[in-house]
Amino acid sequence: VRTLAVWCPDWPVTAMGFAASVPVAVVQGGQVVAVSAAARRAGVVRGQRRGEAVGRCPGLVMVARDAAREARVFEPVVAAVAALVPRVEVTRPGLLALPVRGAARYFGGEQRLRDLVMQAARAAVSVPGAAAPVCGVADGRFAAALAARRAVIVPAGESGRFLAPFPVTVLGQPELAGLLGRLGIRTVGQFADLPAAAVLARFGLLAARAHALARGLDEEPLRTVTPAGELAVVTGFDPPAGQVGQVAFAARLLAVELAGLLAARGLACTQLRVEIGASDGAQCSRLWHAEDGLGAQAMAERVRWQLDGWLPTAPAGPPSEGPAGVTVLRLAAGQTVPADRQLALWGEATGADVRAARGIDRLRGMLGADAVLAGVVRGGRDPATRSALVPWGEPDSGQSVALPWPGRLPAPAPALIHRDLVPAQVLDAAGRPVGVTGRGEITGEPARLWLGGRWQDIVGWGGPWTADERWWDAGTGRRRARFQLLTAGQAGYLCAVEGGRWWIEAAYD
Amino acid sequence: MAAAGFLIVAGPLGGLFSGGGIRRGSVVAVSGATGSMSLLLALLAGAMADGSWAGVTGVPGVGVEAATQAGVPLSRLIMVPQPGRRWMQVAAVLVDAVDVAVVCPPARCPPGEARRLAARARQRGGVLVVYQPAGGLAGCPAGLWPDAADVHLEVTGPPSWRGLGQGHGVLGCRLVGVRLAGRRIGREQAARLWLPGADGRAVPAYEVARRDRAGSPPGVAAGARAG
Repeated sequence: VRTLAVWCPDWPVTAMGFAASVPVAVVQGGQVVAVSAAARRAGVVRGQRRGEAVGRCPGLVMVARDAAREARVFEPVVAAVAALVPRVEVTRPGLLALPVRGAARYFGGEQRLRDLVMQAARAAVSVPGAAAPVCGVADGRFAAALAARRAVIVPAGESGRFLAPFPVTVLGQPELAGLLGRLGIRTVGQFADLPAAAVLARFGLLAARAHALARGLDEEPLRTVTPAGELAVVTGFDPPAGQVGQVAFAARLLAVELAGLLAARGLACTQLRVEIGASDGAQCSRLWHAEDGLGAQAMAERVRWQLDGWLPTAPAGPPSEGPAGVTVLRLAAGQTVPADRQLALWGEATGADVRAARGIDRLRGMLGADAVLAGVVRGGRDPATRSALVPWGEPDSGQSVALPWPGRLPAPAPALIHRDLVPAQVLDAAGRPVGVTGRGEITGEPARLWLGGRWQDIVGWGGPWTADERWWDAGTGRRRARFQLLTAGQAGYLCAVEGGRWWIEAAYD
Repeated sequence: MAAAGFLIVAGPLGGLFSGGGIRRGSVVAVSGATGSMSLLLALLAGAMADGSWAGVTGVPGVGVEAATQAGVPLSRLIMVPQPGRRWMQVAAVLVDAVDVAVVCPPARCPPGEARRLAARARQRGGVLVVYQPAGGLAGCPAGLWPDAADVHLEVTGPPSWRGLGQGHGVLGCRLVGVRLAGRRIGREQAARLWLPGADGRAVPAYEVARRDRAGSPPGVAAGARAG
């Protein structure tokens, strides 16, 4: 997905109200976590101890990190960009992403869209002399974020080449980066040159995902599909909650509830929509994204950030009615991925889940990802389509089982599916082959079944259930009728007849 | 994990096992002339009810929809239908990774290998299920597993389907006998089950039988004939 990223350099510094020309270091836990441009020129870098930083730059201003303030000050930037383009997604205060398609067409090209967004973002940063926001466009969020740092537009399909010279540390997995470093692999390009199967086998799932990013492949394109039944939790406040703390407390409970719903479905949430409504009718809806999935705590934190950023700017009601308060809070999982990808990062996975995930990794390494499968029930009529097998961990792209499928049979479903159809013959009592007319009528009562080299008597039969499948498509369209047959040995079969030929599709074993 | 020493089997099959489940580390053979797949699915559904994982290798035709109807959680079922020549290694990884590893040997298994796999299951506290459908179209004849299993779970005849007539109705539910025998089972256990029942789950036969006497045959809902 073509993505535009907006990056505000040194955001923790800007959020504290400092211009880029002032030597500033933002400190957390005795370590420098962000520096201004002036401090960087003097040799202060992230990760330094306080004393070391002061040694490099005697005039250095040190401030403690304030995450809530970073989020609060970022809100006007998000609002300004969201006014131009919908579906803006906040990765963290200081970095946001949005899908380009559509918007680029509307505004007349990616270049023009980028300029507009950059202008809007720059105007929204109220600190004079602060580092100006920059924008970049590339395929996928990951490449776009790096393109923003360089302020470039990477042409479609070129992301792999663009990423190649970056060091492997940009992949965001320090352990993996260390390991690769020891193997002499220092750039993203060198990592991308390794065969995918070998990376999976040797380093596991998380590394395989990093490898896909390194090759410039988009993070799963299917993710942009919003699940049909959105998972959401909502709570109301009556009387309206006027204090951030009160809402934040409710948000924590909601987050735990949503995380529970997701866990019960084996999903992890990578995009969270937080909607806050106020008593004066004002609303604030934001998308939060995290590649590694949002746990309950991370969700609650995003709500807190959004509250901090939005509440002070919400217009207060007339004095007689008191200030506007929050009346409704809704959390919805916008995008989800199967949770097994997140296992390494999820605290709450059980021992059995972790053990199974390791086993899946090993099997994939042995046989390839296409050999390790998960079962999915899909919409469709023929049994092999309904009982689908997909590579483990891949989101299913098949047709929904929830749709009505006329012509499908009620439970129980056949227990044994013959993916290679087994040819058969069916005769009536007089020994004539049984067929189905163009009007869906049977030409004789099935009496004997020839299957696997022998004849069996038929003691029960049902059908025909006819279905014109894909009749609009001359190539794959077909007209078949289905029957259930029960032999004297009480073996039940699901058969199909098509063009006068009989097949066993499945057995009620 | 091996706290109780048993893998609890929920549902009607659990009643057959003394202790309510399968002793961890044992080898269970599942077989039957017809209905062995339904029996396997019912066993998996029961054993996975409390969050356990299962893996199946070498069984290409598992009816996924039937599995869900039987109560098998697909999110915890790993399937490697075509392990090829490396089925032994695949089986070994599954035994390491899941609580219930189902294998269906594609060829006669050397006795030494079989013993090693069983020993691994014992050490890991898992359960190794050897699926041996007799004859049938699935094409995995019994006798490819050289060793005696600790427990034999078998569909005994004669099965009988309800719900399908001559040109009307649908296959609704099937009455079968299930037999449990083995080295560590004190007395041979047997039960009559609806396998599958009308909704796909295994049901003890007496429950449906009561309704059966009351009127309509079980599992044949009005208008069951779809489309």
